Amino acid sequence: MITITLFEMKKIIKSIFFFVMLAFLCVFLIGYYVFVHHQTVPVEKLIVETESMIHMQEQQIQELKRTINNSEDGGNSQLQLDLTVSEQLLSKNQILLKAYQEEDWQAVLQQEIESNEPEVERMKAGNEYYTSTFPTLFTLESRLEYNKWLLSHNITPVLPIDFYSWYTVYDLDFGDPIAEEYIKKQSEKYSSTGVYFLHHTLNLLFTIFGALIFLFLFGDILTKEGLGKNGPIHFLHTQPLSRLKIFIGKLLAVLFLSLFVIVFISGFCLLIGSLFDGFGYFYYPVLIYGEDFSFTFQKMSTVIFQSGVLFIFVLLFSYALLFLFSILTKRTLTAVGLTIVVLYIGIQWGKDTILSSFSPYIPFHYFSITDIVTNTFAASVKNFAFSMSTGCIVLSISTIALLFLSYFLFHLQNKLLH
Amino acid sequence: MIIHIQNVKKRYKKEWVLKGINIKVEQPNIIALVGPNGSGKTTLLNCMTNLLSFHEGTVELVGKKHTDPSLFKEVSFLQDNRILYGNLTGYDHLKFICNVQHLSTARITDVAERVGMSSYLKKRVRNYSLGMKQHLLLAMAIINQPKLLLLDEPLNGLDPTSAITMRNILLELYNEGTTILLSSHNLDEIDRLTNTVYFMKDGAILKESLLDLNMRRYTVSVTDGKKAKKILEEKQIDFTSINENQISFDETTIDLQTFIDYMNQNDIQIYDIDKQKIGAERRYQELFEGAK
Repeated sequence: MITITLFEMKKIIKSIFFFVMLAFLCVFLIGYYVFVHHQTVPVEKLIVETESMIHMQEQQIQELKRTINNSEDGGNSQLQLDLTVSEQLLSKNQILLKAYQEEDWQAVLQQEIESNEPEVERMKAGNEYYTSTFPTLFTLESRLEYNKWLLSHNITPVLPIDFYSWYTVYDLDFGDPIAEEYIKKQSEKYSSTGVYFLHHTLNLLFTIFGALIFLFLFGDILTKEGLGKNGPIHFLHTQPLSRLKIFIGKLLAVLFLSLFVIVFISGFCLLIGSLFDGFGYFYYPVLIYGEDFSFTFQKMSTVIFQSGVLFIFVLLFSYALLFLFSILTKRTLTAVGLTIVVLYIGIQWGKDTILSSFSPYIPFHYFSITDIVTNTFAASVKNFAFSMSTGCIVLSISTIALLFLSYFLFHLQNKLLH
Repeated sequence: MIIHIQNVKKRYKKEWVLKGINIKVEQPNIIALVGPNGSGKTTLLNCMTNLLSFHEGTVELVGKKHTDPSLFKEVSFLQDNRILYGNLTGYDHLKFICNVQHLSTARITDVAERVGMSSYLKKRVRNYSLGMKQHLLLAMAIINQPKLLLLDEPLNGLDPTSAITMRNILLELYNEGTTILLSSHNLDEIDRLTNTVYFMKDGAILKESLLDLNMRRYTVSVTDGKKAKKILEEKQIDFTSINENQISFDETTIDLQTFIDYMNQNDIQIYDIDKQKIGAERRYQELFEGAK
């Protein structure tokens, strides 16, 4: 089995197409890194914004003071209250500015936590979970814990970290569309450090698009053998190898090479990120939704690993479809095309039947890998049967069924064809 | 039993392409399969090696059922060069066979030298010429020193030097105890390799072809052809009348001395005897082109 697997891998690795695709992938990653780097909010930007805010607040305070002095009654109580609030805000922003300038993230986080905590406690006391207006209690609570995690692990936060840079699936009402767009944009945090860039890239890769890349990369694994005619498959069939070994060898070869490509991409992302913006932290917190408005945080490295595992199951399922269509059609483009069409139809069908009881057992749902791993998908559809473990089981059973059918056809191919 | 094929029948849709093939080979030998295109030679080889299924009959090679993949440790099949992987080198192909069959990789150098491909062993196959590919196919077929070697058109694309090398290697293998079954159109080469030729036509082995091609054929000129033919007819001896005073017969039907005795007993003078080996080409012409 090892021999045939290694031989199959060698056949792919020695092809020009494989190297060209890897080169394209590198170019794409470099381009994507430039984009991420450009989107990353630098501390200098926050300093400028805070300075500008301080300047505005100082002017506002001067204005308020003048109004109070000019008034006959020495200013009414509302003006006095406004002045006090403004002075408090100014003081906070001055502390924040100093912290930004000194890159004292502990102080920044501490301030965020202190300003957030009372509101969370108030809402919790009122059990205000069942609301959908931004910011929901879940959002505030999770944001608070997020900041506490950053503080306790002494992690440089990914900017921005203000009130408007965190929303969750429970926030459905944002007041007006402009506010909604602003909050969602602010919450899309980018960081060009190694680990975070890897996270961005894998979020992009561990989707249907990633699966398509791999389908194109290994799409001819069976069809290049000249199935149904005098092709290289006859060489393999005239060696002391059972057809089952040949079939499994091919599957293992694409599986190992897929792993190799994922590891290669991961290494490349970490390297390029580390070179230009530092390594980052494996301890970056990632929100994991739980049932009944509960939540936890998971290390980014763990989420990346779990996403990788689920993606491998997704890939195996995609390869099983590809194998089936390769055996049926014997043409690379037709087989890849049919696989893509079936995946697309499956995903659309999955969306249409999302609320049905059998929905978690449809394998096509699990192409939303990161959302499945973080339970974002489950929380969105309010069905926690969608989970990584269900996904792995459903995809495994579907894959085995497809592979069994494919092997059956592969084995009987000559009988069916001739 | 090295080859035991019993009543193998195969059809494509409704047309029978193999019509009950029977071949038994018990001792090492070189056997040639000869026939026009579409006669079923390649189909038979593919059925023997389980590359194609068949509808009736059984095939056993080196004592194993043809569907048992382990037989390929003792049986090799030299096929069309489309089975090669262009991205890989000749060395890669040979190494894979060594690994699969648990053979020492030291054999690669030996076999490459033997077939004359050492200089381009580590070049990618897509850069090989037709002849180089044929060398590699031969090396792949003989690296495991098989008991039975099946070859489908092994001389295709070979220049005369390579053809001679190929022939010599096949004869060496035969002398080492390998049984060789080859299909070929090159009747001259077949004559140099073997006397055991199975002529195939329309999916069947022609029974009348199963004769020793080393056998002689005599063409005799006599003084009284009419009388001589009458004597042979009376004695129910198969012959061919070339012209009025010339008769042709195979040594299996009557040996030359007996023929001379018959003629002497009847006062018929013999004034010329021409002796020829039948050979594959001559036999092919007789069977497929109607020549006598």
